Amino acid sequence: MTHVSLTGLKKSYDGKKNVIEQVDLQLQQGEFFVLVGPSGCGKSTILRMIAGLEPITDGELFVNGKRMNDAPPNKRDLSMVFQNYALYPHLNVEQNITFGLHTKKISREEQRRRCQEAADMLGLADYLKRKPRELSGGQRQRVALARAIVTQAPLCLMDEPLSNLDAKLRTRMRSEIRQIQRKLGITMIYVTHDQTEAMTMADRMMILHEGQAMQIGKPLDIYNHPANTFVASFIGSPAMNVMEADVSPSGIVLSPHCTVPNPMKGNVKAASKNVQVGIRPEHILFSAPEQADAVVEVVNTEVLGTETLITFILDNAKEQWIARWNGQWQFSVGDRIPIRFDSDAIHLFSKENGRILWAANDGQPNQTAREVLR
Amino acid sequence: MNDARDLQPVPSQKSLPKRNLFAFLEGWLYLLPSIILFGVFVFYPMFRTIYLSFFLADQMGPFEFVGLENYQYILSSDSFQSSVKATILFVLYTVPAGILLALFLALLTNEKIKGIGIFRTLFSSTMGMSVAASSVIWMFMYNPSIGVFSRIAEWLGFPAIQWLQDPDYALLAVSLSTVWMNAGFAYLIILGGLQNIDTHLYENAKVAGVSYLYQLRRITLPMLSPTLFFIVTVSFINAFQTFGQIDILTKGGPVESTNVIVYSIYKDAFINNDVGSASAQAVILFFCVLLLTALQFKLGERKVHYQ
Amino acid sequence: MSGQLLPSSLSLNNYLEVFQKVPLLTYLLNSFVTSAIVMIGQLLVSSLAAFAFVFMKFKGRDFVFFLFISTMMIPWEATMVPNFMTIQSLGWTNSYLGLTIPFFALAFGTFLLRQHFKTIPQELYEASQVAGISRLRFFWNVILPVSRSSLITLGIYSFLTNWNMYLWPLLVTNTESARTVQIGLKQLQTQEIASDWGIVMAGVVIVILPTLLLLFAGQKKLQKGLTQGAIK
Repeated sequence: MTHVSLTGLKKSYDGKKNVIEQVDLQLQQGEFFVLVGPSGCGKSTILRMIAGLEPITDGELFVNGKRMNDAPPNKRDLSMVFQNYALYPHLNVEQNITFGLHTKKISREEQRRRCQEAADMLGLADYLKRKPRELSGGQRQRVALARAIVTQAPLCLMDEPLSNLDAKLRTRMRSEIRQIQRKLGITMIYVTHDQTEAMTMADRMMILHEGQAMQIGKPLDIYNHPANTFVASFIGSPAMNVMEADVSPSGIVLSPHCTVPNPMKGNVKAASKNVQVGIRPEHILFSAPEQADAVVEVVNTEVLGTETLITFILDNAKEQWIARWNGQWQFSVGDRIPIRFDSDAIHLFSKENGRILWAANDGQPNQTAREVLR
Repeated sequence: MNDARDLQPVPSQKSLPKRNLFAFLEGWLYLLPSIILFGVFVFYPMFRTIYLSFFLADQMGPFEFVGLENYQYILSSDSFQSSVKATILFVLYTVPAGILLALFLALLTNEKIKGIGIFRTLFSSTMGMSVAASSVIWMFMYNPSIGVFSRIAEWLGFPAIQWLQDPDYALLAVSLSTVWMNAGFAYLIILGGLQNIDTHLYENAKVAGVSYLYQLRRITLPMLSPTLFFIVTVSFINAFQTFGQIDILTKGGPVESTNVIVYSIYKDAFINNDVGSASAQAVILFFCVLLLTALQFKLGERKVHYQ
Repeated sequence: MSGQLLPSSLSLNNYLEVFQKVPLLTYLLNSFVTSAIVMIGQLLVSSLAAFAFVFMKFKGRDFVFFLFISTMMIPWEATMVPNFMTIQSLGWTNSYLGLTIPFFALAFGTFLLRQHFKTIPQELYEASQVAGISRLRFFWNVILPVSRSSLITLGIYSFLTNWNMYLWPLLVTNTESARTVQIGLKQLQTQEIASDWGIVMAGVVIVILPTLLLLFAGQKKLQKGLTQGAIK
C-alpha cells in the first residue's frame, strides 16, 4: 500500500532556477527509503518539503492518498530526526523525549509510559533526568531517536542522523535504527551523503545529483546496474573505474598497449566509437602472465587486512585505476604486475551524457544501448 | 500499522496565502511594542525637534514660524561658537586618551596570572559608578583647599590651581574625570575582545619565536580591530552626549568654557526657555552624530578585519 | 573632614546623618523600582523583537530592522525636549511611568539578543514545528530559557544604565517623593558642599554600592555578552 507519494515535485527559491527537478516517487508502507547524494544535491530539501518545513514550489505530495502540500508540519503525522539532534539544552532527557506530546492530547501517564518504553528500547533508562550536555554523542543521538519513536507517527524522516558520530558508533547505530524501524513497522525516509549507509540500510534508495533523480531502486540493483557514470562512481567504495576508451567490433581499446576483447558478442556491427568504460575494482583480477590483458605499473598499495587496494596506471600516468583483491598483497611502487579485466563485468557509458550504453553482467545488452551503438 | 489513521482535514490550496498573511501579522505583532515605543519616543520627537527648530518656541510649544532664523542666530552667536569649540576639544581630550588607557589596561590584565581577577574588577569598576557619584568624587579631588590635586601641587611647591573655576583648566579637568569614568566600560569591552582571540594564534607565534611587539602589531591589533572599531564609535557618540559631569562639576562655566553642546541645549530649553534655539542645536547635534557614524562605518568597512 | 590626607577617626556617623539630610531611602527605592521596571520591560520588548527578526520571515522585516538600526544614530539628547513635552502632556512627570516607559525599546538590546538567538540551531524551531508547538510557546518555553545567560547580561546592563541615569530624571522629577538617587546626590552635594564632605561621600558610597556589587557579580557575563552584541 502506498504511503507517501511525490509527483512532479519541484523546488525553486528564486522562481527561475529549480534546485529540485521533477522528483517522482512512491513509498510503500513500512519501507526504508534512503535519499543519497553528495552535499548540495537537494536531498535535505526534498525531506524538508515532505516535512512541511519548506514550501513545495510545484508538484504534489500525497500521504495516504491525501494531498498534503499545504499542511503545517504537525498535521502531517510524521516525526523527524535532525542532523544535530535538535535537543533542547535546558530540558532533561525525559522532557526532551516527551516534548510536544501534550499538543496531541496524550495524557501524562501515557506520555510517561511511552517515554519509558522508548528509553528501554534505546538503553536510555538510566539517563532520563540528565541534560543533553551531560550525554555522549551517541546517547544524544538515541534521545533524538526516542523523541521520534514516542510520537508513534507512521512516517519518520531522518536528516543525516549519524553524521556527527564516530565511525564505530555509526556502524552500530545503522543496524539499531534499521531494527527499530522494522520492529515498529514505520515508513522511513532517510537522508545521507554516505553511500555505505545507503547501501546497508535501504530497502530502496534514490541517488540525487544537482536536484535530479539519477536512479531509484534496490541497493544491489543499483550497484550492479548503475544508470550512469555518476551513480557508478558514487555508489561503491572504492569507486568504479571509469575511463575513456574506443570500442571497435573486435575489442575495447583502453590504451595503446591494452585492448580487451569486445564483450558485446552480438554487436559485431558496432563501429569504432568513443565511450567510457566502467569496471569495478573487484573485477580487475590478478592474472597469469600469459592470460593477462595488460602489465601495469603499481603506484600505491593499501593493505586493509582482508583485502588489498592496488592503485596502478596503464600507460597514461594521469589515469589511475584501482583494483581490489582479497588477501594481503605486498607490492612496491613501480612493480609491474599482470592483470586481467573480468569481461563479464564491464559497463559502457556514453561519453556525451554518461548514460549506460551496455552492461555485460545482466547477460544481455539492454535495448537502448543497442540502439545507440548501432 | 493503522492504514486508515485519521489525519487532520487537509487544508485546501487556497490556504497558502492565508498562512502568509498570518505569518505577516504575527511577525509584526512581535515587533509592535518596539515599533510603537520607537515611534513615540525616538522618531516622533526627532521630527518634532526638526519642526520646532523653525519656530520661536517655549516649553508650551511653538508660537511663531521663523524659518531658518534660529540657525542663523545660533551660528552667529558667540555662545554657540564657544560651545562647539568646547565640544570638539572635549571629544579630542577624552576619546583617544580613554581608549588608549583602556587598551593599555586590558593588554596588561589579559595575561593569565593568579589574582589578575582583582585588577580586572578594579579597572572595570568605574562602569558601575554613576556619572553623578563619580562627579562628586572628582569635585572633592579638585577642591582647591582640601582636594588631593591641590595638596600634591602644594607639596611640590606649585601654586594651588582653581581647577574648576579657571577657564584655562576647567575643560581639561572635566575631561580628565570623564576619561576615568568611561575607562571602565571601554576596558571591559576591549578585554572581552582580547579574550575572544584564538589562543592558537599566540601559540603558533610562540613556536615561530616572534617578539611581543610583533605579536601585538600582527595578531592582537588586527584581531581586535572590530572591537576597537566598536568602542571608538561608541566613545565618540558618548562624548558628544556628555551632560552629567558638566552639570555637577562646572554648570557649563566658567565663562562658558565647558558649555558642551548637550549642556547648551539643556540650558536653552529648560532654563532660558528658548525651545526653538535648543531644537536647532539638537538638529545640529543629530547631524554631527549621523555624519560621524556614517564616516566611521565607511572607514570601518575598509579597515576593520572581521573574523 | 578637615584637610588631612588620612582621616583621624573612623565612624559611621556620616552614614546615619546622610539619611537625615535627604530622604535617601525614598530615592533608593525609586531608583530600584524604576531600574527594575525598565530592566524587565527592555528584556521583554527586545526579546520579542529579536525573536521575530531571527525566527520569522515576513514582508517588511528587513525594513523594520533598518528602522531599528537608525534609532542608534539618533542621539537621545537631541530628542529630549519633545520627549519631555510628551511626558508632561501625558501627566507622567514625577511618576514611574515617565521614568520607565520611554526606555522599554532598546535597539542595542534587540541586537544583542538577536545575536544570541542566531546561535540557536534553526532545527530546534523546526523540531517544535513538527511537534506542533505554537510560536509563542516556543518563544516562552524554549528560546527564553535557552538564552538565559544573554538575558542576564542584558538585564545587568540595563539595570546599571538605568540606576545611573542622570539627565532624564533631572528633567521629569521635581518632587522629593519622585526623585531618584542620582538627583538626590546632586541635591546633597549642592546643599552640603560648604559644610561637610564626609556626609556627601557617605551618600556617594551608598549610591554606588548596589551597582558596584552588581557589576562585580556579573562582570564576566557582561564582558562576554557586550562584546558579542557589539561585534557582528
